[in-house]
Amino acid sequence: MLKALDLLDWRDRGMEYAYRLKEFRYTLRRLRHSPLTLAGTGIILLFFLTALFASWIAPHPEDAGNAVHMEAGFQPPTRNHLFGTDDMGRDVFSRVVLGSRISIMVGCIVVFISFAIGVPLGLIAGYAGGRISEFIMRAADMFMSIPYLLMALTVAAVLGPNLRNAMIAISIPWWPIYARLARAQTLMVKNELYVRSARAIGASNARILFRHILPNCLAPLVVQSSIQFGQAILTAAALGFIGIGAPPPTPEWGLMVSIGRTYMPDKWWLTFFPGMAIFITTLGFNLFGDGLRDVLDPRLRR
Amino acid sequence: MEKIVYLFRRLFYALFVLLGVITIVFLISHLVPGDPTLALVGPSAPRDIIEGMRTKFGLDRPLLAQYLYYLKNLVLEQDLGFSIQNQRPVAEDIWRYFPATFELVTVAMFFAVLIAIPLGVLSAVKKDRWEDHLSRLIALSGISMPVFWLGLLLQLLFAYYLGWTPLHGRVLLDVVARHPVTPVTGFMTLDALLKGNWIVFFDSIKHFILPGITLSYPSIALIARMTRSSMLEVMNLDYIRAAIALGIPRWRVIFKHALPNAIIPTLTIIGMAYSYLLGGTVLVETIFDWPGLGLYAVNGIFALDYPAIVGVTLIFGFFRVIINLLVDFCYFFLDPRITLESGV
Repeated sequence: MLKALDLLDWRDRGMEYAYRLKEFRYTLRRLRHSPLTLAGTGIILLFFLTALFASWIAPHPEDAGNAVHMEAGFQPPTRNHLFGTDDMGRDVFSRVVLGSRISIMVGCIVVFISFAIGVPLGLIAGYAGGRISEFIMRAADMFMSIPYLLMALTVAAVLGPNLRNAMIAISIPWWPIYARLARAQTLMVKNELYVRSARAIGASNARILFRHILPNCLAPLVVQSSIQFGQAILTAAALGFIGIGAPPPTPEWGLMVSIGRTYMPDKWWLTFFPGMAIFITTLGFNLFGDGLRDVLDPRLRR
Repeated sequence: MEKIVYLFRRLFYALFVLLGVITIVFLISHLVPGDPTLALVGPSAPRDIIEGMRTKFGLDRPLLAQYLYYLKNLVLEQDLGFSIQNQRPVAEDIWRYFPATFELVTVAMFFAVLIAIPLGVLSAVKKDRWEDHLSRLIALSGISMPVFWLGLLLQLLFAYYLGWTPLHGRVLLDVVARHPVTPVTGFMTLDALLKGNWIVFFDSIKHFILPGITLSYPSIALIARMTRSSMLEVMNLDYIRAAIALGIPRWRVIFKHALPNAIIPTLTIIGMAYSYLLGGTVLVETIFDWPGLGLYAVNGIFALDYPAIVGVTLIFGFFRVIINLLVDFCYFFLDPRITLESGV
């Protein structure tokens, strides 16, 4: 008897693995057939590799800081200095490469904070319903009414200009997006059989929420995180550009554009290359996220 | 009757969100770690001066009392406090700078809709073909583009190298000096048009082109993607397939039968696009020296002028809530399927 049950269990698991494999293959196939999604994946990989090996790739890693080579200032792009040199004679290419680390840090922290605030609130709102849900979702509406760049600006200005505060400021306006997504997903799965059986055998609410509901809500949240990673980099750059993000001489891309702007239009390379880095990186995350959404959204399957 | 109840519910809800916006902005500006009076008078000021300032601004009272006081002043007297930059009431400053920003945002929204909807339709009709990929790339570039960088590049190309457009500003000062515009509405373009002042009118139109395009690009992306997905949904419906089967020309099916139905979800996204536009003004106005609220807020940051920044945030929040309300109303009149139950 025990043996038969075991066998049944194994068969179920086998089918589950087969199903997952099929899903995975399907995902890969969709991704392969979308050149833009592939390009996005490529950009993200390149970005992470650049950040990882930044100190080896950058020809002048010391230029990330306060190095001064006045005699080499304002050189246009050459073979020695691919992206030219800035007002202090620092190699712009090295600074852009090393700046990728700051962008990664900003992306990870911002996504983590807004995810950590928004997702539990959304899960609770969806699962509890009623007044709690009303309260959380109306608060989300209010936060979303304030244009997020302006809200980030206000928070950053009030907290004081530095990179840590900028990251907090960017995270705060974003929790409602996660809360909304998580709530919508919870509403869809909370009456599924497996949730009801978990409740029937007496699992605690926290266990049901985080063990049973959350894993089944993840797909759209992952898509959102990918897109938000790019947006976080973009917003951090905007704050840096305005002057309330990372302080000089940090090789933060937005700050570099802002400093380069004072030397426009003659020294165009000072603004062009850091801005290009922001654009390409953010585009990579958006292409990837958008492609992933198409793959994960069952309504778009044929 | 049901309709009126629905409209009132939306209106009530909008007021409720407005109250929430005020609360959030209040909390952000009052839960600051550290003492705002210290920022104002400096940490080395004598104790009694600091205490005096605290009493003057009501900072010695409990938070709730401060909140009620703030709310009362805001609602009854439209009092947003005094700007630290120029000692004028912030509300007055906001009224002065609002028209420039409103004009810019309106022009940008016009550009965005004009480009985005055809782009979205093209993308849906040619799904998975190169046209779709290209329009997806254009759209996603929009939300990936640092607008400040785009603005600088456009300036470099069109104003500096080609000389087609002015570099920055809202209008040439000597043009206005030679052909003065009497303010009627405060909106420069509209005033010039009303008075038949063509020279100022065309000059200000020229000034709109670069900032307008820069500001609209991220919204183009949003609207185009939304149009694409709602077009795809509609194109699969039976009545569209029937229309195609009946041999009605394809363009007619697309523009006459599908688009009007697909446009409704696009309306909602326009509310969101306004959020991008308003936030973007902060960057675009800085680059193009556009004398509007965004530039005012950025200048406020450097002067540590919290009342100014908070005032602008509040006004943009209000503006956004009003736009949402208008969108809701449009939705309601355009889509007969909306009933009371689906409201709020």
